[in-house]
Amino acid sequence: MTSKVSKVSRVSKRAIKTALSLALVLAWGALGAAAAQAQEVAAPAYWPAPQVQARPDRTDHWQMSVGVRTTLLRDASFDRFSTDDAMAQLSSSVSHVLGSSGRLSLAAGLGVDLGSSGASARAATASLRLDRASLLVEARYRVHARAQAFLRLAPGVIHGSATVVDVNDSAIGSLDQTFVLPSVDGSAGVAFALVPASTVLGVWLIGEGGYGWARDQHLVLSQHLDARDQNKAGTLDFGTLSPRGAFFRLALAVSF
Amino acid sequence: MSSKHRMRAGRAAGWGALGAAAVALAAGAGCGDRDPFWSQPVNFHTTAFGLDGAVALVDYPADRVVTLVPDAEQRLSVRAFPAGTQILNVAASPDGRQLLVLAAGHRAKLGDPEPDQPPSLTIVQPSAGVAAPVRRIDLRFLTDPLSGLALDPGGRWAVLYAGSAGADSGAFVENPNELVIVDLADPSGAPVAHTLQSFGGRVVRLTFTPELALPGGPRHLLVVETDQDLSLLQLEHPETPEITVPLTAAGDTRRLAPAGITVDDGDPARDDDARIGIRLEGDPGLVMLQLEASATVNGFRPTVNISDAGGVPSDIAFVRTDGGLRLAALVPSQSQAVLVEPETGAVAAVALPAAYRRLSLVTAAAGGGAAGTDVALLWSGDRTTAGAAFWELGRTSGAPYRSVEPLAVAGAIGAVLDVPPPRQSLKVLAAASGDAFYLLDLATRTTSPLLAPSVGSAGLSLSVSPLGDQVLSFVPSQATAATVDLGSAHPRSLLVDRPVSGLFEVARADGGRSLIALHDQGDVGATVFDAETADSSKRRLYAGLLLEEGTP
Repeated sequence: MTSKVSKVSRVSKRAIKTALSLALVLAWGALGAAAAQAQEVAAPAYWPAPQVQARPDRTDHWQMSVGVRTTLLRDASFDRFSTDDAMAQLSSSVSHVLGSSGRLSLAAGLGVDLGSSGASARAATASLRLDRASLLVEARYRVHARAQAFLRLAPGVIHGSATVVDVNDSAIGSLDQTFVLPSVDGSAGVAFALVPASTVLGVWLIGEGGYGWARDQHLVLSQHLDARDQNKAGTLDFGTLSPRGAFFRLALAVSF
Repeated sequence: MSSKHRMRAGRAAGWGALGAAAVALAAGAGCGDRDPFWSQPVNFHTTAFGLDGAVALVDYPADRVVTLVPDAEQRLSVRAFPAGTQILNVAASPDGRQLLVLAAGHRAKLGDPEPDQPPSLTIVQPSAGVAAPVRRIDLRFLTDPLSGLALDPGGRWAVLYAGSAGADSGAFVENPNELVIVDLADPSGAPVAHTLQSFGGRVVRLTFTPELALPGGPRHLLVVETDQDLSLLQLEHPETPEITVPLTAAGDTRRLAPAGITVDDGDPARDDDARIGIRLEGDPGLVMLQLEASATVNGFRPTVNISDAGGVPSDIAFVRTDGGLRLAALVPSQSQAVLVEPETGAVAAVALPAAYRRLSLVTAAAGGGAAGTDVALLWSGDRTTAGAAFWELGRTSGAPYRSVEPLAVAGAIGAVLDVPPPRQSLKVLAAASGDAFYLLDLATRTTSPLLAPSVGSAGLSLSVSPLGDQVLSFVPSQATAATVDLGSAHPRSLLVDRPVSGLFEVARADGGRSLIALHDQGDVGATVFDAETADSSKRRLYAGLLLEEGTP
């Protein structure tokens, strides 16, 4: 049981590490490319100078991102499912610029956050899966050719599933509950371009922080039994879960 | 954009990325701690008690008691009661209304996030309608906890003493002669510490006497057996020095220890004939103390008589024969009993048909007592001797007994269980082999065998419902349980899906009764039945009970 949980935890940590490594490698690569390009331009080798036809800066209409979202859930009911009050999720979004004015632009899109947290709770294994689908409305402000700040509002729904495996080898030792909750995220962040604005495809590193609200859910888990046996099963009252709290997101995005 | 600007922008992007990564890492790793409760293991071994209206589980690692209260639909209501840090000992009151939990507390060192908590005695009363279900008695004056807990069968006193926990209790230095007496009937009363005058012994067993007519007035005594002597302490006046009776005669190099005692108040019209009978470990001696009037601070003093039983007694009891009060002792090595006349110490031997080792008085239920004489039930208590017998303690034709009447029981009897009212005329005889038991009707002196041939070597675990209507039986660690109606002797097997670790009958608030079978796998499960029907189609299964919210 402990090994299962630590396996879940390891997988989760590995995913975060991989995403971060990927981000840093891409950032490094982009920096290297920029430096190399700068060197090339800085050293004219012959006269007269060649005719350089500069490509116009890219206009981004679409942005797709993938990253890691970590939400702090300080709620006591979440203690059953986590050893550190943190819920890590794979976070992805797609957005389209609806309009722009100077440095300011407005985008809308869809976001999906998928993730779970698991831990040993006494002699049992407990896990909580929270998947969020949301509509994004995002105001972006270009502070620099390669940096943007943004504000995001994301109303959506959370599909949750709480599971407890109390006795592994018994059909009546596994209990669960699924639920759907309304949610709203409000966040602010910055995005840094990893490639010049003149490239066909923009590559961005996005850091974001905010607060995710969701309605309370009373967790009452029931056993997995056939319909004819359901009246023989007692429930397990886990009290009220408040799946809301501050969150941080680190993501890589492409724009075009 | 110039190359310089591009380089700056690239650096800015790199630093920004690193900053964001740091923030995300900080958020993801170690951003909060959970309640240590969830990391505690579950250690649940026979630490369940059937109480009035509830089953109580002692959750040692989590320092709490969890009660399960059934309703008419076989649903369980789970409540948790904090019981003090580091539970040392637990005992249920004889009436099942209280569970007493002795905890060592916690002494916080510098930097310890857990606050100081003194030793305490927590009284949990889960019965419906109790205004304060938890009462905690602070034992702050005990810096080092005592782990022994003894309860008065009358429910008035609890006594703490240096128990067997030893180093596990957390005490660095322990005084084996220290007692703490708690008057449970006096909520405002402070516990009283009393240190026995030591002659080198260590407390082994405590016995609370019923109220005895003593010189100076009726008193309850605490009889303290150590490994070499015996002390008498007045419970109503614990400040009064105790009386200690050494059990080894002067000049005797042996160290005789008490093996058991029995108490008799004597003639209700007299206050100087209360007696305590004592048998000794590995010694044929029988010691009898008579509590006579004395001008000492206690108002009484014991006079000692010692008799020789002719062999090591295995059980003793004061009995009434036609000749008056006698101390009866079973001597299995001689297949006999002896009757000791208390005034003279004269010993009369009674041959028995078998080497019975245990006896209990069943006078009223067995139709005795009309002539003021007792009836005793004899049995072996182990696998060595088959059968059981009634012993009539009248006198006929000069013989100091009337008859020994063997019962129709095939095997050896391992234990005899009392049945509470309204069926107190029944006894449950548990076969030493563990695969059968007998319902003994004391009024008709007949036995009804109930066999469980498929049990094997595991052995039946038997108990009698506190409501006096059923025998509850299960095989530990097997998914096998049954009840036997004490009125009809009709067995009903219970369909359970998990191995059973405990079986209890509980009176519900609606007037009904429920059966709760506990399963100690995982975080403890339970199957709840209606005790009237034991209908398996209406049973309800629970898992993970120690994970419930449940805080009162």
